[in-house]
Amino acid sequence: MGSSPSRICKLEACDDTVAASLMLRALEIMDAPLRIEIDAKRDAWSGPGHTKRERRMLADRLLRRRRAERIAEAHTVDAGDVEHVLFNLSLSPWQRLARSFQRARLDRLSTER
Amino acid sequence: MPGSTDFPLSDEELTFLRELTRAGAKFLIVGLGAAVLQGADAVTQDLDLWFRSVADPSIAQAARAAGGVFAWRSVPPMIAGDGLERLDIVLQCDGLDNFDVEYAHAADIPLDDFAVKILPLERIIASKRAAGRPKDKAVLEALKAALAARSTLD
Repeated sequence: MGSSPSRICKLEACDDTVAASLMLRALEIMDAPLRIEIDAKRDAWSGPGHTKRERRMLADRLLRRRRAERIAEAHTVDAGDVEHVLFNLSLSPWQRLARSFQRARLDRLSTER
Repeated sequence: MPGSTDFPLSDEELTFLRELTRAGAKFLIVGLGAAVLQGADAVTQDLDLWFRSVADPSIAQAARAAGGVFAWRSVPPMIAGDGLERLDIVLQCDGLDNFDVEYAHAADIPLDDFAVKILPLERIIASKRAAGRPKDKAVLEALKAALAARSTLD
């Protein structure tokens, strides 16, 4: 079917990260008596109001969240905390400190009001 | 990096740290600032510096080069001057080995044309646990999450 060995192995291993489009192609080639369709109405990321860029942002966030949940489960920590760290790690160390100082200033301003 | 809008240090703080490094002063960035530099999601408003010896004359020289002054006889010793207010000096860190042992295992963080040493996240957690103040306990979960996330990068 013109796919790489790793993708075929993923299919054989029932890996749930296999793209639905790949699964559909495999079923078609095997002439399987099954019909699977993607229900776009139930896909939160494919709303008609979302641009390609917005879908990319949502997908990135969702991926980060899922990764955070896996890490949190393995280390018995909070997934939300881990997700914030994963975002911070996409910044340079000094950008992280700038963000923290900025939040401290905002905290101080809000308590002064 | 310096000059960009998201660089957190003042010119004076940068000068101070650069002069310390140039003079070979042994110091570590510790505390929550060091944790944030390593990715922890926490709010801090200062940088804690732990020196091998506060009697090191290069501290006063660096402070002077940055337009400030180092008051080593005050308790705790402090650096005063415009743009230097966020630098704090700590004399001891609970739950840690002596300075030389911790310094030997410190991580380097590049800063402009030099690098500074910071206490690794694991040791910050040990220190916060040992200190045990309410504000230390409050950040422990965030620090543990940072350690967990970083462990997946190695």
